[in-house]
Amino acid sequence: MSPAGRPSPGPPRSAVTHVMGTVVSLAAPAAVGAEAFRAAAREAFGELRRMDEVFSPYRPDSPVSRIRDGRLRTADLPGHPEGPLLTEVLRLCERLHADSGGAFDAWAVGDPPGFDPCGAVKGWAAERAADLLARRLPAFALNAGGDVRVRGGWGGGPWRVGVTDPHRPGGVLAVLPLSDAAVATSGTAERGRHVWHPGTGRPAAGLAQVTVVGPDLALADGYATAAMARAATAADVDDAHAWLEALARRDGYWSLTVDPAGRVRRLDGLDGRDSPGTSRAAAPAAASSGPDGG
Amino acid sequence: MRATTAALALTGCSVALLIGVRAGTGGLPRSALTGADRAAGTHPGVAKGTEKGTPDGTTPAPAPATSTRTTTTPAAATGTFTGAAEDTPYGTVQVEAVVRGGKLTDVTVLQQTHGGRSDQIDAYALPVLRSEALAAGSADIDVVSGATYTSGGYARSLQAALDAARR
Repeated sequence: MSPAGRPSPGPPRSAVTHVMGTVVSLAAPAAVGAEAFRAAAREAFGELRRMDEVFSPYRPDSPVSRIRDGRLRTADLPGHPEGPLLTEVLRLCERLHADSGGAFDAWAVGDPPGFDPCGAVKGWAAERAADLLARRLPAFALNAGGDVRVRGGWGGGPWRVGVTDPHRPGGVLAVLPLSDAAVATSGTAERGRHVWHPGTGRPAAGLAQVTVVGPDLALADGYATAAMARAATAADVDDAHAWLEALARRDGYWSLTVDPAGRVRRLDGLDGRDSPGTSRAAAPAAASSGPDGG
Repeated sequence: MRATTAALALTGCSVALLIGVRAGTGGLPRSALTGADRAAGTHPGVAKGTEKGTPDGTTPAPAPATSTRTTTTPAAATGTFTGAAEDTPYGTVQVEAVVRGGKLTDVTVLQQTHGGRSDQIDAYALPVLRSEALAAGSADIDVVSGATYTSGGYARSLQAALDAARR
């Protein structure tokens, strides 16, 4: 079960649940007691479920649905039972909007455009769940539908976080050894073109996938979505890369992007110099008509 | 406390998996990995997997020493497991996984779409799916970041294979 040189502490403990329209997996080293793991998983999954009830745009009576159709005004949030949570997410959406130069716009999602903070909520909720886990577990890997938060490691090493290859189902582009970090990926491979460019009102198509690595999953998730949105068409990809490069220099959130032809770029604040081992040859011909083609 | 109970219940029956693994008498919270067969009917739109694990003797897998474990530690699964036929962007895919001692040791593609563009992509993607899933089974990857998957997408994801291999 363990690669060469890695001691075998036994398989990590794991739990899986279905929430927020996706699947959330939790893993921890076997050194974590079964009872402690179970209690931590229960609490973290329960938190995600509660956030889903508050923020789901698919539940007609959720507070977010009522904000979207005007039944709940943001001015009334201070008196609302979930006011503090809603206010926190609204502030996150405003920050992501400002940081991304308007590319992340929770108020212009879909057709017709409306308020939908989904692009921020999953990462934010997972970060909250990870905070709860961190109080109980010295090491864990939480995967919220593809957005990952790790703490510590196992088997004497860091967690090894794979980044999916959008053109090769089941394949990985890179494996990142990380101990305390968030890895968020936005892309078209699973749900098609679902990131909207607020300027054009059309789905963004310039990049197939963006992965952002940094300390906070809420921001990493938002930045990944924002970069997808900035790359509305192939002509905008350079702009999206420049923005990610600046983000890495300024805030330390570095990224990997994949375009529809399978080209991979690493943006790490080093002015576009690819680090050894992270770039690869152009994808085989079959991949160029991959998920984005259809 | 009610939320906790609900979380546990859902942990046990969330989604059907591409690779269902019998977890023996393991003491961990049960994931979809074993609850799928029993509970798939309660989740419309989620395909149901079938399981051919030993000891029912229907597979050529070696006799599993682990399938009758009664310890409180998670029992390592052994057997051959047939996943549900999953519609993917590349056509319909069904795989058979061989798990020994909780480790994914082989993956066989049972079914794939024929004709046109999907066929061309399958010819490339499926061998990769197989080799990468095996690489994951050897534990070089602990967790996978990718575009947000649906429940059905999870079933055919590398993360699902990793979760299965941990049972």
